[in-house]
Amino acid sequence: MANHHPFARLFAGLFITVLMVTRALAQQTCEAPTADQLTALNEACSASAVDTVCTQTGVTTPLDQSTASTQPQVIRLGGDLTLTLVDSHMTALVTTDTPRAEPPIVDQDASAASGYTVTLERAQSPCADSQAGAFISADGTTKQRLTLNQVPVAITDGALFITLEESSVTFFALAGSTTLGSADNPLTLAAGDVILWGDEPIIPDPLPPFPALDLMQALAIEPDECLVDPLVPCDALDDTNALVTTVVNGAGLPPQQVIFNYLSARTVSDAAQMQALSCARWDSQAMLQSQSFRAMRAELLDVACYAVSQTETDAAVACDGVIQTDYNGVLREWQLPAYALTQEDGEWLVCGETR
Amino acid sequence: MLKQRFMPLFMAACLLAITVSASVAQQVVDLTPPTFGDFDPAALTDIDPADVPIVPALTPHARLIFERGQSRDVPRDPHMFSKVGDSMTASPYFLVDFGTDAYDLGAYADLEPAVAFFSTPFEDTIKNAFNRENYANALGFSTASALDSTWAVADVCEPNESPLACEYRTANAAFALIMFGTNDVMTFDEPLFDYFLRQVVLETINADVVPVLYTMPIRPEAPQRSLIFNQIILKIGADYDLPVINLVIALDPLPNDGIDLDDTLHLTHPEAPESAASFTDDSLRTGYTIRNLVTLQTLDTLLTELDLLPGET
Repeated sequence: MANHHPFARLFAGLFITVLMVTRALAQQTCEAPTADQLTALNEACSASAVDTVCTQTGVTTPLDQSTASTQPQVIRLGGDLTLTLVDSHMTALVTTDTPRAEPPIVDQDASAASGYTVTLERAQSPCADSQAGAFISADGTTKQRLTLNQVPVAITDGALFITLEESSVTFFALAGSTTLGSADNPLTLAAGDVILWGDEPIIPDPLPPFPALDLMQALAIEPDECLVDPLVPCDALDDTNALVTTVVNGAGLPPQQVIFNYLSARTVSDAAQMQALSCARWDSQAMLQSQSFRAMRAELLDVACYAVSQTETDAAVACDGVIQTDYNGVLREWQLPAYALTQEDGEWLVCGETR
Repeated sequence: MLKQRFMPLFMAACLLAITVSASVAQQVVDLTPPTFGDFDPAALTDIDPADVPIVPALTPHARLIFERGQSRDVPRDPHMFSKVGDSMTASPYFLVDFGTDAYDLGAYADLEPAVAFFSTPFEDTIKNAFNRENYANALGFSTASALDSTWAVADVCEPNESPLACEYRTANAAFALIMFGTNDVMTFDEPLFDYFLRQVVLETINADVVPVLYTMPIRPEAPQRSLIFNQIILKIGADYDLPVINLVIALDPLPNDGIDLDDTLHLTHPEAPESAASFTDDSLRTGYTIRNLVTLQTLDTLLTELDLLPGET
């Protein structure tokens, strides 16, 4: 039997206690702002001056005197540009490039980006995986420009949500028109587009969570598209806290619901979800189908699925409606096949198509 | 007398040589279906598109595939090629005008026999390889789309038939001009593109159709990823011992690499009355015209090496 010194036991006990307390504290610090907080922030800062940082108390600080904060902030820039830092774990370092910050801040030319040069940084936080980002909105029909974390951004009467990663920024186009990149090589985003801008712009896979609708509503931002799954009009969403809603798998769902979920996953190229809803034999086909619309924007139009036959182990499901795709402005409608499903361990799984 | 005695021996030796070379080509090419996750980025490091010729030669494996196609019950039609790819391949600027008299080879008149060879009418129609309707290209097409029966043309293709299989069944072409990447590069990561392109190539090989690949034009939004995707294309071409038209290098001298900056999905094309089927100096400064030129040069090379052109021995 090992002979432990009494102090060793005491030390070990203290060590474990410190670990537990540290962990508990870390968990306590991870609280994202609520919609009510943002509503209050928006109201308190609605009349804040240009080139200031405003907090929920309505106190404003000139940009060049602002300090890093863990509280939500509104930064009002010229040209009706507003940045709302929604994550309490983000520090913001906003610098103006003096020569380019001369009025007019809004550059109406198509030349290179001008106006503000903004750098947003993510705080060192135990909640680093939670939303660390900002809403950017621009009112009016004039194109408004800024350079955000070295990415030239131009917004016309629209809104963006951005999240910050280690060496990249993810842009969610919420409304209006947005272009990223230099004027001679612009990347145009329509509402609903998501671009991860690192060394080069790519569409992230999987798509990161869409910002909660109630947070946007609190900031009076109305997205043109709601990237939730299944796709529904934004105003029809009940659960406004939903980010990207996770489609439940086939457990306990009727065959027609499984197919609807499968099709919904297809429109957002969610391979994992489609494979989770498929039998082993259909796995590779599900993976293939998850990718084949990926170069386009896809949505379900008037899709309603119904079982046309069902036994204890097999079912066939047909669907009305179509998948509509948009490729470079060209719309195309895709008829839906009938699907064969099998039941395995109480779950209905997609296992084939019939046309 | 001596000739007569040695003739059977000579014939047997020739037959043996053909059999051995075919079997060697078969042995060195691994036709095992790809497994997702097999992609090895380290295998790309030594591949530089600048080191690869623009117009490829006929490879031993391509010759073998062609010969297999000719020995089918219904031989693949050597006068026919399939166009497989995205909107740049579905474009009316890609080869279509060579199907009529609306072309001008300019200084490349030596390509006339190849144009004439592929101008043979398709079945009982007035169409030919250049301008017949293809079923394995479309707007928004990616490597995954080519394999997904959702994209198959309903009135022509059979239930659950992929666009690729449908095209090969209906066209019965001996060659397939395959270009992917422009859509894929913005949406797929490297392992997915590698996986799906290998499937497209394998399905083509297994159908006894000779795949002729292209490196893809640069997407200006993603030049580094475009380079990696082109390395993948060249790696796949090498792995399966297939001809690859090195389009990206052919486009390199053109303004903006032959890309339309107002529409970066597509190549530039000449303004009317010029056409992408006219090899004039002005037209040859546009992307589609260069693609047409290097395609015809490659087809001419393949036909020549397969002894298919009139006057060839």
